Amino acid sequence: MAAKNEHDLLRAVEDIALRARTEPAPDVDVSRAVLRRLRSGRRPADRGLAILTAGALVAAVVIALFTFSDFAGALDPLEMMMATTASSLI
Amino acid sequence: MSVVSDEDGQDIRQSLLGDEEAYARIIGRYQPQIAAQMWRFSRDTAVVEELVQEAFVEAYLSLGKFKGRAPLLHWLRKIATRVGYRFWRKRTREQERREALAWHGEEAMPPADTSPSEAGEYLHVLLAQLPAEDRLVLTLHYFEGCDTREIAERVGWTRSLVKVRAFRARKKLKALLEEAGYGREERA
Repeated sequence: MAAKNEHDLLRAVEDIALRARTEPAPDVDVSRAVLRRLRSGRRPADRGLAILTAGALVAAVVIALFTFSDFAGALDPLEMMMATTASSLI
Repeated sequence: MSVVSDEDGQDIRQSLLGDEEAYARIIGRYQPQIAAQMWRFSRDTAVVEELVQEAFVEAYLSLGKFKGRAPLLHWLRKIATRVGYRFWRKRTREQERREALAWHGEEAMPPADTSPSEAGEYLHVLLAQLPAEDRLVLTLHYFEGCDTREIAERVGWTRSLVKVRAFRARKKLKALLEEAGYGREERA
């Protein structure tokens, strides 16, 4: 009997759910609000990215300067060329 | 072969290039479906609007990661599910208490000829008594008609985890109904 009751209870909920599925949802129009939020939200992200890029460039230049000032004499021409190409790629 | 429609594909490419109108077209096409989904997470129209906005903002920020392996709407639904679930988890204790009071105020299950809105309201309040993860599984199953595979896909859980959670959630739901006096012979 308990099993039957359990089945009946959940079955009753299933029936209610079937009816609820046809319920119309409220009409919304969010396109303007979304675009507005994206416009205002995008700036900090862009600024963050710009700061990161600038930081990476500065770090690359500093590394390149250290590399060439300290060890340039020890590099043969081929290594020198590879190092220059690598630093320009950074 | 891509499962993404030509107009979606075109609008996604344009959106990624910064064309706002293209993204507005995507929103216009899919906001009714996403609003219907969010209606399962809140019965407050203002909250639904906020959640729909949130879903489309998140979708835009991840648009570059959309691989086109499934239709755009499937991908949007996954994001919307995540947004709705997060909303539930952030709800305050006060909100939970209000919904619990609403539930205890219910006298009986809705009759067979009840309107879809009343049925939706009843089920919403009933499921709100469950923890967020149980509520999510049952909401997707009952309201959206999702099977375990679809729930797993939308939520990002494994299928076996969904099965376990669905089993436990049903058990809790049954206990809740019994506690309220449903299913007892003498009550009928």
